Amino acid sequence: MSLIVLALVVGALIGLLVQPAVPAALAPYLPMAIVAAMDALLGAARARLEGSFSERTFVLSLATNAAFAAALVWTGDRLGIGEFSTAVVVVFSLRIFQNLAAIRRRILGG
Amino acid sequence: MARSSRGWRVAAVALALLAGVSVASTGIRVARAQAAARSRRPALLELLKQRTAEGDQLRGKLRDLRRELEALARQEIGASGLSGEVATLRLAAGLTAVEGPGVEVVMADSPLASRVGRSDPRYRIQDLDVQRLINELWALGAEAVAVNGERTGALTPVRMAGNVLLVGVRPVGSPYKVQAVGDPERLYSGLLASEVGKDLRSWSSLYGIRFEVRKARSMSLPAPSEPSSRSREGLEPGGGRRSPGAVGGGWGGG
Amino acid sequence: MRTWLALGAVLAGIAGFMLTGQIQKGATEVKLSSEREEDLVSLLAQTTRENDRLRQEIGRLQLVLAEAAGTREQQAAAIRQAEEELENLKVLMGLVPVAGPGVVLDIDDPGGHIPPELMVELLHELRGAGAEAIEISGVRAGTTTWFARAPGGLSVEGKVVTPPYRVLAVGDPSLLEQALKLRGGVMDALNAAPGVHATLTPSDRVEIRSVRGKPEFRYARPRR
Repeated sequence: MSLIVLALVVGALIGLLVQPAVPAALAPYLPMAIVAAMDALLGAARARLEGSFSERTFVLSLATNAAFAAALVWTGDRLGIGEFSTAVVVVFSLRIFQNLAAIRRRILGG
Repeated sequence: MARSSRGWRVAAVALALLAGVSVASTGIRVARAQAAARSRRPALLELLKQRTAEGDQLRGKLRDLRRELEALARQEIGASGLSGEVATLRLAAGLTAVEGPGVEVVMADSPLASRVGRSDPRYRIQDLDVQRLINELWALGAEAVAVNGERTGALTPVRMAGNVLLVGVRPVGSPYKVQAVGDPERLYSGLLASEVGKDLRSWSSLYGIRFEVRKARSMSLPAPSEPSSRSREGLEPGGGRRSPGAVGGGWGGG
Repeated sequence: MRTWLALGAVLAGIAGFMLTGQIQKGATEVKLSSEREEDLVSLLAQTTRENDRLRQEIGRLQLVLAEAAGTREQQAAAIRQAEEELENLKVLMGLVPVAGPGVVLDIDDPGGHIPPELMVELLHELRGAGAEAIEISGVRAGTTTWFARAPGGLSVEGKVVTPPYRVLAVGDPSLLEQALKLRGGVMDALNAAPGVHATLTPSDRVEIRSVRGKPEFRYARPRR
């Protein structure tokens, strides 16, 4: 788990230093994928605290979450429903909150 | 962690790395785009403000020049026909400030407009709404109409340039105050009973746009921005003459 | 180790939150400003054009004032100017017939599908493109021109006109054509109505012979 957090930080640093060019076609979907990834990460943190963390679950949830979120936004764009992205953000934000709450309860002993 | 196999761990670390890179690069992209937008917009706005102020100054100067010439003409011909007729026609053409009773209509974009995105016209007042309203006011015998203090008439149509409502070449914004001088009773009841009045009222309950009509005992409508002279030819019965000026140096800002 | 992890997780959560908020805000703001920018640019172009015309007009009037040096001549020039203005006003108000380059718009609408608001839009669009005189099926347009539904056609200020309609406009033909033929503009809207066929013809000489009566004022008083 600590390795994952470390990898995330290192990745961010690499991104800041190298500043890789994101393909323009991909640009609109990346933010959604990031939100999904945030959810997966917090989920992993929560699982870790609850002692049920599994790297397999983490990898699968992160990959599917990100891919599905991006796909939803893509579909919404094709259908002309811009609100799709809002819906995706709302859903993931809710989950992020729930995970945060769980983590907080664990740590603060709530 | 002992439960997971080595392969999954490597995958997890790689994915986390990728996520980190994505976050950073997206952050950079958004920040750059914002910076670019920030740097151009104020410059444009500043320029536009400058030009509008310049235009006001020019219009004022033009008005002074016309007054000067009018005064000279009056000296020569006294109260005789010419300048009197000019004055009447200027009033009729909506070129002088007027006052009188009438109605005042206030329309505004729905407070939901900013949330549903500006592409959705149902939550915003459109040029067509204002045009229909003005059309109805004329039909009900209005004698002078102004939108946000800008007189509208033969020289100053109401249109939309992109997302901005223009009266003549003057941009005006929501809330829109439409003032009409005329018979207050007729304008008031006629407007509420009209098709456009009903539409606006139902949209106000459906989408939250604002639509209010009230009678006014006395209103002052300003003179419109003075047009520059229009050049065309007068048609003498049975034939035409061509004015020397280029036709379609036309006023109105295309 | 456990505390560390927990702290890290909370920080990651906070960062995640700030990021989502930031990314969303960033995305909408960029979209808005990039679109608004076009509006700003077109507004700027319009204002600049208008200012140029004002400058020309000021120059012309200053010339009128300066050219006639002596008082007598100056007064004569002033009278000429007043006469000219009177002529301009008469054209503007639709009191006199005019002719000049412009456009002819023929609208066939056998089913009577054209709503009055489309004609209102057409009128505003023509004025915006600098039309100096406009006639709709024999009715000269003026400041207070309005349209309404009428059996079998449209009412133009109470006078019923039936299709096919012919709209005449005197002004710069290319400017007028450009304004009406904008994508999604009035021509598109007209031709989108069922059974409607609209054709726009630029012309070197459009004659508008109809005139309006002088308007009467019962409620509006000039304010000095």
